[in-house]
Amino acid sequence: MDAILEHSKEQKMEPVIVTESLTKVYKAPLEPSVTALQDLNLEVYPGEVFALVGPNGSGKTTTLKLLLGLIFPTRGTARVFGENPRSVEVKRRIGFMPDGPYFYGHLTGNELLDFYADILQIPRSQKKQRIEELIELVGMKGRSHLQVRTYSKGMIQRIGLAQALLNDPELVLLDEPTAGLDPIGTRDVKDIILKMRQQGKTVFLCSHLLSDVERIADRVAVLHQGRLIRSGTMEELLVVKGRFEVQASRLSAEALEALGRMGEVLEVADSRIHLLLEEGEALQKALAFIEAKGGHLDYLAPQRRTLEEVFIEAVREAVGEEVIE
Amino acid sequence: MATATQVQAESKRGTLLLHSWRAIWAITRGTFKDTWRQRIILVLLVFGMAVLPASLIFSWLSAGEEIKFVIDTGLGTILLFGLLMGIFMAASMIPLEIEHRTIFTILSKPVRRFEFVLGKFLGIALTLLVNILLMGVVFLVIYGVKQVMLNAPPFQNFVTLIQALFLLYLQVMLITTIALTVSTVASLWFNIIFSFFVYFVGNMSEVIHHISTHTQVNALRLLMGIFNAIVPHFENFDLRQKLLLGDPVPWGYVAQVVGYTAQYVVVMFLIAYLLFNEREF
Repeated sequence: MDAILEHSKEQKMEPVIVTESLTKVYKAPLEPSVTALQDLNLEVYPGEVFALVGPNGSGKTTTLKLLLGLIFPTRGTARVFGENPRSVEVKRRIGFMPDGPYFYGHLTGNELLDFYADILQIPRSQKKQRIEELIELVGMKGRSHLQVRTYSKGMIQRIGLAQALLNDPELVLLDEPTAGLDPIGTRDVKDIILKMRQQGKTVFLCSHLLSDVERIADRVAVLHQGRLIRSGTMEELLVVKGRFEVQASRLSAEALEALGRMGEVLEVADSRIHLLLEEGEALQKALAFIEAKGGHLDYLAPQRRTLEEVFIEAVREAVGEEVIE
Repeated sequence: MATATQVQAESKRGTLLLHSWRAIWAITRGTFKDTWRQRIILVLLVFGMAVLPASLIFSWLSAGEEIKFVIDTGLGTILLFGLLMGIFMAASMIPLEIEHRTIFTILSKPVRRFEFVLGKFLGIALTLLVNILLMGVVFLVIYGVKQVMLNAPPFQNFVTLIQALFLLYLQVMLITTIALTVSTVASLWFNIIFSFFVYFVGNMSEVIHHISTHTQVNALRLLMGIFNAIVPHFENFDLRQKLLLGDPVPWGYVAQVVGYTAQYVVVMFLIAYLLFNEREF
């Protein structure tokens, strides 16, 4: 995961997406203007899965629409493959799945993909095969002959993903790709995203389903009320610097008690202990103690938080700053 | 001799042009198929085709003016149902794409906005052509039957009839283009009312011209002058009088109306493009 990022940065690869002070203010007559996005600075590199997370109304979809040229910046710039997102050349290289995609209900899944394939100028000789491959990939085999209006939300999501991949895009933009999917559907979509990453594609996704994002994203940016409040690689965001999680077993009650005094105990059961230790002397001392007492070191890793914890912390800090301001 | 860069640029331009037409054609076909699945269009077509034969039956009520009745009712029916279809399709197409958010997936594909609008326009134009052709064939059959029943040659004034149907189609296309242009910024019902208002005013162009040149009220003169200048003169498209008198219509006149329609459609389409190009979704 990190290797991709390191590689991309070391090679000084051109970013696929660059936004500079990207700002969008919605103005309506006789109504107060709404700042949906404020001074967003982002760089997304080739081959990474980049997630934009945030609560509803935080500016995720606005960012996506700006990157697709569906709306225009009030201030700042957005570039995709170094060009204006409205460029047709850019759109040839991207695929997009909107949130809760709506399609022509009277078309069947096959007809729908056929229509988009025509817009994408996919040669007739390749079109049928490409559609069949994608129907298979998104798990819609045997159901693609039905009209879209009869589809469940999950099926619409799957066919939406298929249309986004028709042109084998270098960059895939997904708005809430796992929303409304059952656990199997969610797993399938995550597998497809990971497969895209293996193929070297760049994936830019927006989601508020943090556990889903945590498993697939290389880098994350947190938006809150239109402002970027945190960003970084998963490692940077989730790993707590200087703290390790240790689990040891086959220890006596006295040893467990002594070990517990060295750090912050998370759980003790039978002869096993799970605790947090500060990096450095405390950790070395504890490891030596476990060995000396004939215990077994089950697990040793830097302490990790969940993305949800990071997200809530970031939002609280942002809200706190606003209150102070 | 052209340099490699020039050749590449030419080739790219050629590819872009080709791409344009392929994208437009894909949207045109999609729109055409879509309209045939809309029940309202089929209902209008069925009603239109059902009303046409009725003119044959009811023509007995206008003794001595039976052929006038068939022509008036026939062309009037085709025009009315053509207008209903055209205005409804044009007024609903883009707002529904926006409301249903289907426009997101289309405009995120390599489609320019003018290609989208043009594709929609051509799809509607094609649908109207087929509908008016179908109703036109039924009308011609009824006209022929009536002529035979009146012991007249069945294909009398046939060329003028074809010309009348052609100008009727142009008339419907013109108002449809106005509705499509308005649909890029306005809601469905405002657009329907506005389009019928324009059609109504456009059919009174002679009256409006008369008022604008004879009234003493400056504000009224200005208003009528504006109407006279910008609202299409739909009376120019109506050949019913010529048909009844049996007067041939010179092809030069038809060409003039075609040119007038083309100018109007191009201007309206450019306005639609400018409005749609800057619209946010």
